[in-house]
Amino acid sequence: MEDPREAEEELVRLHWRLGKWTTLILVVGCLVKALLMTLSPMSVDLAYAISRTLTHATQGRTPYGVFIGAVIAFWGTLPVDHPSILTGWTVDFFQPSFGLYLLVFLLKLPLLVLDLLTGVLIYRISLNAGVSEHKAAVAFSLWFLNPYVMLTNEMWGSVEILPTFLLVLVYAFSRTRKGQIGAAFTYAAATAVKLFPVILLPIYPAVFRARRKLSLMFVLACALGVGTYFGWVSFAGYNPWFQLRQYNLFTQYFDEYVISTTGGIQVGLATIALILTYVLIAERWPRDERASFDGALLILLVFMAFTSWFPQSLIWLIPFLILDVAFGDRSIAYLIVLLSSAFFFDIVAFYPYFTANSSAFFFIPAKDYVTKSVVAAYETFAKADANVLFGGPFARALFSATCIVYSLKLIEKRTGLISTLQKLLFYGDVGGSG
Amino acid sequence: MVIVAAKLILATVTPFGYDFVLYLSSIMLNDNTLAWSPWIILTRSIYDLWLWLPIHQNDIQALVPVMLASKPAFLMPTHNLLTLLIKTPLILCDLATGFLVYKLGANLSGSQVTGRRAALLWLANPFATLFVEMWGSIDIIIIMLSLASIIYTLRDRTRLSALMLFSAVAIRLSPILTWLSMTSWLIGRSNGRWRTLPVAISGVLGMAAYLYWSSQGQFFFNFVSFMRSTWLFSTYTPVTQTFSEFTSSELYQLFVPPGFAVMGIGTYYLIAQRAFKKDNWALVAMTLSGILLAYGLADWYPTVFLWAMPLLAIFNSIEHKYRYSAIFYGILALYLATFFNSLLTSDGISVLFIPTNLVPFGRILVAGIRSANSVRQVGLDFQVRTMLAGVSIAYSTFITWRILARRRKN
Repeated sequence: MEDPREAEEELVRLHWRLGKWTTLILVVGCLVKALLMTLSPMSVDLAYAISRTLTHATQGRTPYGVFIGAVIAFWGTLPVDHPSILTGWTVDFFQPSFGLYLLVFLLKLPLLVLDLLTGVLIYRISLNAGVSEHKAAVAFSLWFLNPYVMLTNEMWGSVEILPTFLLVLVYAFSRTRKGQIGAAFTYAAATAVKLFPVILLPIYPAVFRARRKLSLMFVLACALGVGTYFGWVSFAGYNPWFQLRQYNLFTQYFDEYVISTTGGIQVGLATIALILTYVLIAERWPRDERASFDGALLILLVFMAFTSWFPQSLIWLIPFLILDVAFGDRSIAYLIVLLSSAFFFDIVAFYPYFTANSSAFFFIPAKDYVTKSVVAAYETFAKADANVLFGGPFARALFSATCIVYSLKLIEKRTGLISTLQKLLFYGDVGGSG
Repeated sequence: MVIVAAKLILATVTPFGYDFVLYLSSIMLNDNTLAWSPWIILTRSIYDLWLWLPIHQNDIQALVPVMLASKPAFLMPTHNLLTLLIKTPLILCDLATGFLVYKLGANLSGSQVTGRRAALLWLANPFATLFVEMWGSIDIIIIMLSLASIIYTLRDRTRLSALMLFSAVAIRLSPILTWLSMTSWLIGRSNGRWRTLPVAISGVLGMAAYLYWSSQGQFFFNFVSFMRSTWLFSTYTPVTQTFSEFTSSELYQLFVPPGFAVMGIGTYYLIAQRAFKKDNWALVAMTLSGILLAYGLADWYPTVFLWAMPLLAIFNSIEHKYRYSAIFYGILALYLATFFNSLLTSDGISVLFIPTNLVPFGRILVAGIRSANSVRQVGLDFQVRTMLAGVSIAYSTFITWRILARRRKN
């Protein structure tokens, strides 16, 4: 008879082991990403952060600023050429040299590692949920070879990957009974890094309402995370409240589409939609472990549908969308529509970021005539009336509409509310169901 | 008795109540802009009575509240007496509302204990005391009349109900929301059309009466120009109804955007008329949810938030759902402190309309309330307004869900 401990160990080993195709995807993906991230030093945010760090301005006192300082110090000890960073690498200028490219690689390496870990987590969660190894490998590929992730993570150099990885880890932990305390601590860390995970808090007291201590632990973890976030932002010399309305690479930016301007009093759609979602979750959401996943996905979809966000923020949502596809709950078409509409909107609305003052194309320096022509062609495309007046807004609207439809499907799946309302509208009666 | 005593004291010591200052000043300065308002007529009579009393009334000009605000040293005990006299009808309406809340709560739940709990929740509500006794809002009169109208409707005495509703709409227009709810509820009932008629007519007549008296002052030339004026719903006075929707615009604008409140509430009552069961509970709950929905879809002055409070007291005492009420009142307090900071502190010489010299640590309290203004300074005030709108809409949705849940149980 098989020893149950051995069987469990085998299960764990099986889940960590990567299949042949997955390993190939991993190796190819790592090579492509390493190359792209090294060749794209002109990310506006990253170049700006480095110059601020080196001039000992406010940004230098953020955790990321400290990290940049440490990497530059380490780079200084390496036996390579060390050109001046301040003159050789600015927002709109990059002087190619082996030493500087190595520095770019070193600075972006943690992003690649976190990207890889997130992919492995997606793979592992899929397998643990009973998905076949083939489908898990597809889920891993959807993440790791995702052009949108490559563009915003490795090339843009966004720090969003850290809280995103931590949120996926929260879900991975919360699937096991022993891991739920770890999930609460991980949630605190995610909130401390970028604050936005605070919007997910209402899920945990709702899903774990039968376990009051665990619910309380999540609330305390959130408070700890928020306190830490406000602490380090203040320490770095910012006004943390003001920063909520001011875009910055490291701090959290919240802005909403507003309904009106009458009398100077405005209201935002995202907050209203989120409050409605919270009440729905508090009243009608089931308590099983998968409900926390669906709840997190629902909240992120509602938030992204109505708020204004920068391209890199979409990374928060992508692992959850991929997992939903892997679980077999949703067609891959939703993922494709969401990412492609977001990408189109991004390249129209954010083209000055992607061209870094016409000196780069997606953060890759434009030195030769051919690349400069490509940049010029891209800028002409992005500035065309058809795209500014129709294409971009239509893509944004399509993204929001898809998010809303997706949200309604999740609500129906978890609460049956939509079919109840349907009966109500068509028959004037709910017929004892719902 | 303790609550009544507290209300009397607070009414007496708050001569700087925002609405109170506005209407008393207009009477003292013989401003006839809104002289045809039923409340102004009553207040003028009380003021004349006070002048007739054999007491020392001080210099008339010094007593005008808007001037007292900058010269609190002129405040005399006789002025407190005048404050109490003018607020007495409001206090009586407050207590009558408590009684009606008790009757309605007991009727809906079939339990006197529940009715008493509902009345206590209303009478002990600090927001009700703030708006009625301290702020001096006349909304309490229309609330009392609307509640009476609902009770008469539930007792099938629709003509009396119509009379109450007509009076309420004629005084301040806003009970038009209750009118929509009652009409929608009555139409779906058996033999409902004949019963609906008096109530339906009362709303229309009430509106006509309101528009007629409010156009008779000096400020507006005549009824027609008043009707065409964009001031119709946008200028705040304590005796008329300000109604400013999100996305409302000037009449001469080429593309007039639709108003969310009219669309939202209209759709809500159309669906409610078809979907809700026509029991007593549904009438109260759908009136409450309609009012909460209106909070979320339009801009309002603070005293408007009084409308939902008696019905919330009844809803909470029956359903025992206090969680959302606590959130609603918490955000309402933050909203008031953020947007109406200077009103609540009356230029720094009062705290919640009580002169600072009567309040221990008065100046510190003023500074405390004013510190909430920092939310505006960092540009987060619209988030507070949004949260209030979101919570109101969510609360309305929750109550609607409870109505449907009851229908399923039945």
